[in-house]
Amino acid sequence: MLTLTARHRRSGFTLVEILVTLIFMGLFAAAMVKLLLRQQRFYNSTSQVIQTRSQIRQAAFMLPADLRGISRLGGDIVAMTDSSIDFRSVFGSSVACMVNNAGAWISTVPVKLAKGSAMTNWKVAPAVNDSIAMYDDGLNIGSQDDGWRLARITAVSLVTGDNVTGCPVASKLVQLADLTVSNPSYHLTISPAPTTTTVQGSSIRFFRRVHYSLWKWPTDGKWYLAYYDCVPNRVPVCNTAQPIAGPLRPYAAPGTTSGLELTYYDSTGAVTATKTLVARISLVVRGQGETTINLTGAAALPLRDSMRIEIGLRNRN
Amino acid sequence: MKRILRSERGVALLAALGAIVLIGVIIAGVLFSVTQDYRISDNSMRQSRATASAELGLNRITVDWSLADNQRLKAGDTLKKSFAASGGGTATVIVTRLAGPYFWAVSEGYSGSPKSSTAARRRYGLMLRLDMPQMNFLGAITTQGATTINGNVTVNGNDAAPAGWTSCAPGQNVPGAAISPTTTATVNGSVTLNGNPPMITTPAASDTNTYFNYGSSNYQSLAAAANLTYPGGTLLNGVQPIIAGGTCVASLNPANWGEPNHSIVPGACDSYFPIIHVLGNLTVTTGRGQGILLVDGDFTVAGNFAFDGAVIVRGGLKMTGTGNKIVGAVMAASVSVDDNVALTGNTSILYSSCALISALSANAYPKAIRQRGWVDVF
Repeated sequence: MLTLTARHRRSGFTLVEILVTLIFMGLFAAAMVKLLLRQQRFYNSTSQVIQTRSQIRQAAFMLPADLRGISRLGGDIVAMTDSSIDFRSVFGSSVACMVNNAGAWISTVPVKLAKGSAMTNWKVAPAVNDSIAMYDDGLNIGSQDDGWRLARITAVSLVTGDNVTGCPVASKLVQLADLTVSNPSYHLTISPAPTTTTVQGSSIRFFRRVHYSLWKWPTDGKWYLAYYDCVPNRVPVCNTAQPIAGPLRPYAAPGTTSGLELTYYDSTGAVTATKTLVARISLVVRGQGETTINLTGAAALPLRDSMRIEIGLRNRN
Repeated sequence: MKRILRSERGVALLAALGAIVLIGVIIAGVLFSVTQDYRISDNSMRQSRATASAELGLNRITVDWSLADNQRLKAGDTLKKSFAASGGGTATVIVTRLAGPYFWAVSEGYSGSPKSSTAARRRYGLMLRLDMPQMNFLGAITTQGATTINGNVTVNGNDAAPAGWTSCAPGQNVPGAAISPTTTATVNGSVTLNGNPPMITTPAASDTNTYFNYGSSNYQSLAAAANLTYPGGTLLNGVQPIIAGGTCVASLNPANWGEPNHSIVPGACDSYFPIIHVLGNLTVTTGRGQGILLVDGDFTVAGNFAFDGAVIVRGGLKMTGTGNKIVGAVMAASVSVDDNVALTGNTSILYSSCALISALSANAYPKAIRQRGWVDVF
C-alpha cells in the first residue's frame, strides 16, 4: 500500500555527488564537442572533396563536348600546346533550305519540325560576324571534289511563312504547319557568296574560334581552366579570358602535376604535334581544394584529385 | 512495504535527447554529402550511357541500311528506327532524305525512360552521303575513240532530269562531248551539240582512269556486283520492265532493266536500277531500261532503245536507227584502235545528273560526309 509522507525534510546533493556529476557531464560534453568538431571537419572535408571533384568534372566534361566535333582535316585546330588549345567550336548546325548564289544568301530550315528531323539546332542563334562552314557538293557527282567553304555572316533576318527567301514548302524540307511565327527560317547574308555547287540541302555548321587553357587568374593567383572566344570584326575580336572551372593545380611540365594536360595522338596511337593528324586527345585535369582537408583526424592535407578522359575526334575523315 | 514518492530532477533525459538530436544532425549531414556525391556520379553515368546510346544509333543506322531506301525515300521523307543499347539505354534515329545523295540522321539516346525525370538524353547528328562510284563523266559523252556523228543527232551536256522524274536536285551543266586531244571528231548532218561548252578536248578523256577507276571502286568491282550478267555477243530485243502481282521481277532473259518512264504513281520497277554487265559485245534494239550498263566489248544500239543512267563501254559505241535515247551519260573507252564511236540516225545523248545519281546510288551504302559530318545536336 502506498503511503504519502507529509512535509519531509529534503536533503541536498553532497559535494562528492556534485563533483562526480560534473565530471561525468564534463566528459560527456567533451565527447560531444569532439564528436561535433570531427563531424564539422568531416563535413567540411567532404564538401571540399565534392566541390573539387565537381570542378574537375566540369573542366573534364566541358572540353570533350566541344572537342569531339572538330575536324582535323578541315583545319579546325588553330593552335595546340600541352596546356591550351585553340579551335573552331561548332555551336550550331543546320541544313540549307534555300541557296542564292547571286544574292549571297542562304536560309536555314526552321528549328522545330513536326517530323522530328532536328535539322537546325544551336546553343545560341547565329549573329552577324559569326562564321559558317557550308558543304560544297562540287561539280562531280561523286564525293571526290566535295568540300567545305567558309564564310562570315554579314546580315541576319528572320523569315516566317511560306516564303522563298526563307524556307518554303516547295523545298520539301518543311511542312506548312512548321512555318509558324515563332519558328522562323534564318535568312543569312554571307561573305563570300555561296558557290554554285552549294545546293539546297547542303550542311551548315556555325562556329566560333574558342580558346581553352590552364591559366593563372591575376585576381587570386590560382590556376583555372580559362575560356574565351573570338569573333571577327568584334571589338575586341577575342574576349578576355574567364575562369570557368577550378582552381586546378598549377602548370607543370607534361607528365607531372599540371592542372590541365593535353596530349595529342594520331590514328596509330603515336603522340603527334601535327594538327591535321590529331585523331585522339588525352585530357588530364588535376584539381586542388581551396583548403586542406582532414577526413581521418590525422594531419590536414590539401585535397588533390584528377580525372583523365580520352577524346576520340568524330570527324576524322 | 512503504514507498516514498519524491520529486526527481535530472538531466539524463535532456542529455539523451540532445545527443540523439546531435547524432541525427551528424548523420543527416553525412547522408546529405554522400547523397549529393552519389547523385552527381549517377547523373554522370546516365549521361555517359545516353551518349553511348546516341552513338550506337548513328552506327546502327548505317550498318542496318536497306538499299531499297535509296530509291524509296524522296526529298523530305523520313525514316524512324529504334535501337536498344546495353544497360537500359535506347536510341531513336530519324533519317531525313535531302536532295541528291544526302541523308540527315539524328540519333536521340536515352538512359532510362524518356518520360522519367531522371532520364538523361543526348542527341547527335550525322550527315550521310551515298558512297557512289566516283565516276568522272567529263560530258554527256566521253570518249577517246575516233568519233563520227551523222544524221539527226542530239548531244546535250546541259543538265536536265529525265521526263517524269521528280525529286531531282538541280545539277551542273557539263560539256556535250568530251574527247581526247589525240582523236578526231567528224560531224555531219543535222547535229545539235549543246553543253557547257558543247564540246571539249581534254587529256582526261584519254586517261583510262577516267573510264575504269571510280574512287573506292572500279569497273571490275562494279561488274562483280552486277545484278544481271550476259555473255559476249548478246543480242537483246524488247528489253522492258516485268511486273507480276505488283512486284518488279528481276529477269535476265527476257530482260528486265527497270522502268525509266516514271509516272506520278510510281510503278513497281521505277526504283529498280540494276547493274548490267556484258562479257563482250552487246546489241540492243527496241526497249527501255535504267541502271548502270557495263559492256566489256562494243555496244550497238540498233533503234528504238531508251536507257536512263550510266553507260560504260570498254570498246566502241554505235547507235543507229531511230528513237535511240540515253539520258545520263556515256563513256566509251575505245580501248582498241579500231574502237570508234558512231552516232547516226535519230539519236539523243542527254546529260542528267539525276539519272546518274539515281543509277549510281541504287546500290550504294551511306557514309559520313567529309570532315564535318558528325555534329552535336543540342
